[in-house]
Amino acid sequence: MPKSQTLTAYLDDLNALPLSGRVQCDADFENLSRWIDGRQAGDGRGMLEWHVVLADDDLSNRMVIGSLLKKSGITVTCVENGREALDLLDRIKVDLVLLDINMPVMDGLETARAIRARSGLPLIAVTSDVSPKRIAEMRDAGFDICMEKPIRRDNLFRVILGALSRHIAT
Amino acid sequence: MTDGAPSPPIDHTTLKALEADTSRDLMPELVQVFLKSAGARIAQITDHAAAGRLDGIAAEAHALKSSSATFGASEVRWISAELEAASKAGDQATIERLAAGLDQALDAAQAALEDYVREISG
Repeated sequence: MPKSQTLTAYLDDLNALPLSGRVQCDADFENLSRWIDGRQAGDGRGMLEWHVVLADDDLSNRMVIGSLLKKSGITVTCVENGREALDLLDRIKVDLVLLDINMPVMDGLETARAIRARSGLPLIAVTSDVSPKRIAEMRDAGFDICMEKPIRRDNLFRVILGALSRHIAT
Repeated sequence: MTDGAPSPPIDHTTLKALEADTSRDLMPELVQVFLKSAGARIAQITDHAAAGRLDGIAAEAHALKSSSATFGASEVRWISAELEAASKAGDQATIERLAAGLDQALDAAQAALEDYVREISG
């Protein structure tokens, strides 16, 4: 990553959008990028220590994104809506949550607000609606980053590792 | 695509990228799940349209827009996006016209996706 590149531009290259101040104001992004490159250049085997929850009501989306995460060595538990994600957070240790926005039972915005009321877990929205109105809603609900579908594995891996690294550092 | 010009049913660049990101072995199952889900969503759209439930049409069209983009089903994605917008605008005439074209677009996508699955399974 060029030295002059800002985090916003870096995330833009990954088809992602920073939504919270804590994403934009910390970390040594150049070192982070090198660390991620090094991790990806490794043998790629074995699982990382992180556990991600993905909530999406569409089975094909759960299968695709779940597959991308597993292939990157990240443990993932997939659920069908926000209510199931909250139930899961009550029972197991989770490091990061990926939420679709339009879901039945409990949508991604309501789920994000509920999670934010009790924890600082990194929250990433995965959605195909990146209209200005929806971006403002996601920001207000407490999401840290928004990623637009369809999602590529390399982009998702970098955004997740970046979010987790910053979360651990704070 | 906003000028109404025809587009190929499947964007093979997107499909190949998905294959590279997941695995070739998984693709037949992913394609099958997508086609089943897309068919169910179109049936829901038809039901919602018949009952005049605009919110229901918009929600299903939004979900279909998302999953069809993942599988490179360009025409289904385009119609779904337009249908979502028309539903939010309450444009009944456009809804009826677009909904009528969804089945045909999915049929074309299904044929192309099944060709692709045969190709990678051969």
